[in-house]
Amino acid sequence: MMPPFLTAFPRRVAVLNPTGRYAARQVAGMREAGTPVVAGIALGRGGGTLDGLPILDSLSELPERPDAAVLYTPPEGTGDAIRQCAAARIPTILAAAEYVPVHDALRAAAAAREAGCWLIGPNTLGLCLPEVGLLGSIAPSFCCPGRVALLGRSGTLTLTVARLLTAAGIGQRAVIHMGGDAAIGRNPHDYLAAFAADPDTTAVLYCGEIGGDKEYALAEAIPRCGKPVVAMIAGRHAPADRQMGHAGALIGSEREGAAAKLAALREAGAHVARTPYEAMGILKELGCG
Amino acid sequence: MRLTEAEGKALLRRHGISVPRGLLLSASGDAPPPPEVADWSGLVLKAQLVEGGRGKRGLVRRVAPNELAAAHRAMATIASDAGFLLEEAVDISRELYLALRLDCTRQGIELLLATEGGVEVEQTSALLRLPLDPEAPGAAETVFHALRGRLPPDLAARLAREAVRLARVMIEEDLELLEINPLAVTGEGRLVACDAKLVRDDAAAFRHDEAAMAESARLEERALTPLERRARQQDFTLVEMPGDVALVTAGAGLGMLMMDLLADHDLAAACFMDNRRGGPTDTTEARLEAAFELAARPEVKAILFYTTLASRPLADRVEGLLAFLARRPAPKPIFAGFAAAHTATRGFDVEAARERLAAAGIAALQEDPLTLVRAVAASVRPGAPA
Repeated sequence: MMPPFLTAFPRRVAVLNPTGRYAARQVAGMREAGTPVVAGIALGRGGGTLDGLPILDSLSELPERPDAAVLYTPPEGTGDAIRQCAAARIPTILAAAEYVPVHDALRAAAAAREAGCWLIGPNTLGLCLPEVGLLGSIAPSFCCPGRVALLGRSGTLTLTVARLLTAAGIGQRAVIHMGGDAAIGRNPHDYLAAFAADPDTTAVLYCGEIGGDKEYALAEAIPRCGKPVVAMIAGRHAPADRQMGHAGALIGSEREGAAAKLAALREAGAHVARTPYEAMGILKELGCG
Repeated sequence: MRLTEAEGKALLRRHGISVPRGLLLSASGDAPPPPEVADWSGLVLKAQLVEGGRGKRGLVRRVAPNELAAAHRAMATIASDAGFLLEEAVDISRELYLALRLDCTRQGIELLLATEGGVEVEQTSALLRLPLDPEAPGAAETVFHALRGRLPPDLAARLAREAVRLARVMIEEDLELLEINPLAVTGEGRLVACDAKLVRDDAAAFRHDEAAMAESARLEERALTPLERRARQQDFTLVEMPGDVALVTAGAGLGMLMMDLLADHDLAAACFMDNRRGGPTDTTEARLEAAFELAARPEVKAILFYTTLASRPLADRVEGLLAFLARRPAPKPIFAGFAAAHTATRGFDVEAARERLAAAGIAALQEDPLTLVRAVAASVRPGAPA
């Protein structure tokens, strides 16, 4: 399946729970970047405005179905909010909250998938298609247009790498923070399949991390990709059995460590890099930038 | 959070899962066997630690009533801070292994089964693995079919039903892992969970009874260093590690990248930091406080502060850092870096900030993580290759 935002960037974006301090700042950033935010949805605040943005009590009050929903709903309500958006068949759903209970996230991810929606997150900073559009809070000034699809599991690392790529003159087709939690809507291999089919993408840069086994599914998908995949894993020197921040990053077994993941990705045909700097060198050798 | 065996079994019992009769002993090892155990067929004493390998450490023992006090005392010398669970010994005719884990890549629960229980069972090639959605129609039949030929039909059917029941418990109780090893088949053919390893999703702790996992929380807390414990109270995560650079970052991926870059330069981060609940809470000052405390140790040679700001104002970070430094001089050289987006620097004079930070003793102010790490390396290990 092709992510809907890749074929046609959303033109009617609804933001759920936009009024908190963090959310309001992200909404302002999106609107400044030109994201067509049509309304905020906040139960009990209908009829009000947020810096001129109309606030409604419910998605159902929108005259036209939005083609993207950005959720700043608190973690305990995020699962329900995703399922509500899936039931409304909103093609792109982006859930920002960290610490969504994992069973809520799994249920919501299944609902979104069954409804044919593309769920980014939970625990995501969002995505930026340079000079096309922004959903969430990937700083557009960190990005520049090009043909590399950057996929990250950690928000701050995705931002950092985007910025380094831009500084090195390596433009991006997309910068996507897929989500830092163990259970997210679409996994790296889903994105890889999409970018393999995307005519505007030349290469994929994957920034993974320790914990979980998403990189093994990614490795299985690499031979079918047909485009160069450059991969790095953060946490090469992380101690085992300690949770390194967000819920995805914990080495539960040797298989979940950076060395094993890098070996599997290399075996699958990825160009493996230890650092973003090595990755940039490889991308340049591949003619990207 | 990993639950103690006793709290895990209490949870299972609440859901009607069969576990051995048991009771928690008081701290003293001198008490006689409690009266309620008089009709128990045998006694097993188990230290309530969450680490593995209790059996090998002599912390799980079958005892006669007259041996109980001595065994309790002996085990308390090995695990002084542990609680003790006294259980009725189970008449085991066969041991099975059952585990439910989250397969977040396939986005569902995975069932792992072995027809023999045991200590090293997770490594066995005979482990049967299959996805299990307890709400899918015919879920028990699916498991039963997978077990056909491996177990007698009546036992396979019972096990299949138990697996589905446990998968429901897993969802209802927000468990990331539910492992029963051994799952005993008794002489009467009943299934009894003789040991239980349950891990609850911390993100869902708010909707469960705190008191029902108080001992597990105590043990988790006990495993932290004083600095890690204080960080937790201040709403951020700190992982202390042997190292020579106190690292202050925000965001797990960036923190790990900085750790990796330090290690590539023959340096080691003395800590890792991240938000505990994400969102707007600014814990910069508390993080600096912790880093400065670490940096006061002789083995720590420098402080590295690096953050990426997509929209949060750079001014807040810089002013926060300056205010902190005005109150508390850095015990070791401090190296700072910011990667700030356009929106984060709006209305803020970055060059002026650079000068003020330099005047406050910041040894470097670099936007590029690698350049920053190289500056730290040059200071800590002068003459070493960059």
